Amino acid sequence: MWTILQKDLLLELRTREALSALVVLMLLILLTFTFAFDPAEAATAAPAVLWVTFVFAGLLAVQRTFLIERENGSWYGLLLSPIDRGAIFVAKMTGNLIVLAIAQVVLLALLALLLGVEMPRAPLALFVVNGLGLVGFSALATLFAALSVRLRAREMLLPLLVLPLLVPVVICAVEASRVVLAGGGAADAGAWLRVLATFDVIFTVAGWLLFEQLVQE
Amino acid sequence: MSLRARLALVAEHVLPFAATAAMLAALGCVFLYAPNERMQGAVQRIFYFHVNCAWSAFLGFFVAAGASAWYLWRGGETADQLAQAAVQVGMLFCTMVLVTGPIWARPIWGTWWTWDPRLTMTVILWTIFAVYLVLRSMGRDDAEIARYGAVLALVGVLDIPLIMVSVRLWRGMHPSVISAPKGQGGLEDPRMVVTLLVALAAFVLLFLWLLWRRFETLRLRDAIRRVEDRVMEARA
Amino acid sequence: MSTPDRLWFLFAAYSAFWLLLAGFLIHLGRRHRALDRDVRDLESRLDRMS
Repeated sequence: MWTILQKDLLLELRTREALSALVVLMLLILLTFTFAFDPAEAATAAPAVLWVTFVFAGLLAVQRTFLIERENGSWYGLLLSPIDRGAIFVAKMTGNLIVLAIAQVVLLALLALLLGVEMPRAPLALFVVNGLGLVGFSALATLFAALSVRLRAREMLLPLLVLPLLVPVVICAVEASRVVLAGGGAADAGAWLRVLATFDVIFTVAGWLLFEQLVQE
Repeated sequence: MSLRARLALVAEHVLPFAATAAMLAALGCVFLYAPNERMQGAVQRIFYFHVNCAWSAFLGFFVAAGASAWYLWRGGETADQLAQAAVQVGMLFCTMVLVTGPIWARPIWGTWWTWDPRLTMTVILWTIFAVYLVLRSMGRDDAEIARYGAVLALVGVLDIPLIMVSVRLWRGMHPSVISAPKGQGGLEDPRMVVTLLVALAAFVLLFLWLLWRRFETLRLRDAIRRVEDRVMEARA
Repeated sequence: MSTPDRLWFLFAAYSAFWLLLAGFLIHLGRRHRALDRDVRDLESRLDRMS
């Protein structure tokens, strides 16, 4: 499993394709938001903007990782090898998670810049909150993104599949972020974080178990 | 006789009549036996239908998740057919929930819709399984899509408690007493409880009947296709 | 129409609708069984041929 993870990360680091495309895309979406929003409302809208931007850009990015492999044909090579499928899932998910985490940090910075949102004195809380959301997002996205490996014109399907399932994450992450941005600590957002953590555990385990069933061939 | 054959026998000969009778009894209870609710008046009778549609929808999705799990781990087209039938019937009831809800809400609350936790949750659930139906329609004979559908059904049902909790937190409402009509006190008159139970039985039977019919439709469709293929081969 | 009369009317109307639906489902059931017989028949013929 570590080798796959290493491989993915190395690929990313060298090409930085996914990351740069992701950042640019997020920037564009954010810019659209700045035109849509009155700057005074920005603070309250910030967590929402963060997650909407992130979800859409993130889904595309995750899909790309699978697409690259498909185009290279290395996906089949991966399947033929005797690696446990569950391990493949965890590796892919972690890879996605790291890329997405970096992207999210950039996004938060952009958010501060463009929307003039004040970062709380304890930015760590904000990262924790959003990080938890990230894990759940990665799990679901990785699980379903494998769909795009086989089905060609069905790439629109990934948002359709993932978004309704992601609702708890969006609600909790946005609300928790709101609490933190308003000056509260991570403890104040306790209830939201508990739900997020539960979500993360359930869907990581589910993904690990189910991935095997999905990529048979 | 195998379990399968026994089930089929009951489903074909007992179920239709039990369901028909039960529903007639339920209709009688709802309109003729149950009293008017004090505050809401006659409109409240929708409740017996609305709540049971919701429970039937949940039952359908739950069955779908179970059948999907069976399909993923044990395989076999029967499990997949059952899952599909269950989602379809579940969606039928789920849609009815979303239709009867506003009809009930309008006279009572004065508005067609609110972001009440239960309503919100039902919409999300509806969306998840609507996507399931869209997905399945994209690949009738595609085994991979079938597996993805199964995963979706499973994950969707797993998500339900989380959706419930997060939406409730979001809306800040405390969970209300079960069977309480939208949180407005419980069922005061014992006749109402009886009516609810009779209606519940009728709806469960209706659900099973619809599920069975739909399952047979899907099973026969696949069987016919197999025969067609064999005939084509035999000719060649 | 007084309320009790209305309720009777609703009961009658919904019962009629329900009986129609139930009738349709029973009819469907018969069609299914006939189809099932035909399919099995065809299958056994194909088995015998090969």
